[in-house]
Amino acid sequence: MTQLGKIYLAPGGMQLIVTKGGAGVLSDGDTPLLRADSGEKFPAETPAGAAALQLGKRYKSADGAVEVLINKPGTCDLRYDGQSMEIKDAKPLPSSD
Amino acid sequence: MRPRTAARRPAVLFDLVDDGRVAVITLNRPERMNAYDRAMRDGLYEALTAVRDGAGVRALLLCGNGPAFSTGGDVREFGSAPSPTRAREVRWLRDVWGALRRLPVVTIAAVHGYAVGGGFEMALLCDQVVASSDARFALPETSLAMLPGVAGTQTLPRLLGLGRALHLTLTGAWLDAAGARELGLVAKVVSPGRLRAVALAQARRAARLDGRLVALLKRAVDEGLDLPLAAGLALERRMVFIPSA
Repeated sequence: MTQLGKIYLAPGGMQLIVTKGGAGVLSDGDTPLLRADSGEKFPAETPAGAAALQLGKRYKSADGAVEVLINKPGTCDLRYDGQSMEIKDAKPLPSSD
Repeated sequence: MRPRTAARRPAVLFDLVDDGRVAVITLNRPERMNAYDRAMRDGLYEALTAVRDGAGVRALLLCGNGPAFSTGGDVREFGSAPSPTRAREVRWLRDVWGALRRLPVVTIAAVHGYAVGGGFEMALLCDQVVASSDARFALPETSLAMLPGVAGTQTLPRLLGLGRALHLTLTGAWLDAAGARELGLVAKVVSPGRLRAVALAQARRAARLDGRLVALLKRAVDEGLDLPLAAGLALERRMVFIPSA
């Protein structure tokens, strides 16, 4: 379960907040992310993905149903239900001046 | 040859400090005196909505890299909107100034050098302005046959009253930091070397306040301004704050 409004932690220190939830699981590669309010910790030596995720960027699941916002940068191979999440680019808009 | 790094440099820098309680947004087009262009618009919108949606941020510091806080709209983009209709639509779709104004956290602008046009106005959209003694403020739009477009026609009369707001907007008169403080537009004036530290310390103090209290207070003040006194008092009575145990 990926719960709206909840913060999840990755073994590489990356932290995100869910802005659109879903029934599936967020993971770093094969390692499920932990809910920050669960009090759980990753075992030492838990491998972390190599992709650098930047603060303030948003990612979406392959079908666009689940979205997250990175609120602490770090490395992570971010997946939802085993599928890589894609960066959600803002729609390009022209100047309004 | 044009430096390659300049093309790739983000127009806005976004960082969180104090364990994510204070967001720092830095305008980052120093070579253009932080003139506001499409890249800055998109970067600001992304950062401001991240502050809004990311749990835990309690205060925002808005500042600028380089010799000026911001000189407002980048004149190189003026007249480049595909049409007036499309321009209006874009302003709705990417409402940067609405996002800044509606943030439920304390917002502080740290202003140095020129804060002109939209640069001045974006500082006025913050809850507090801390200025360095070298700051200079003006709204030159009217003399350039334009309306101030970053809410200046609305924020200034609310802050200064009609007479002084119209004087500043119609004449484009310059204000120095001391003058802006005298008018109440600036909360504090400090030496240029201390600006960031003082503004950040202020943001850190604000971040210690209960976030729900701040959100309620801002709502009471903001919504109350548009109401008759009796309705404003009723709004205040409806707002109940229960501190966390």
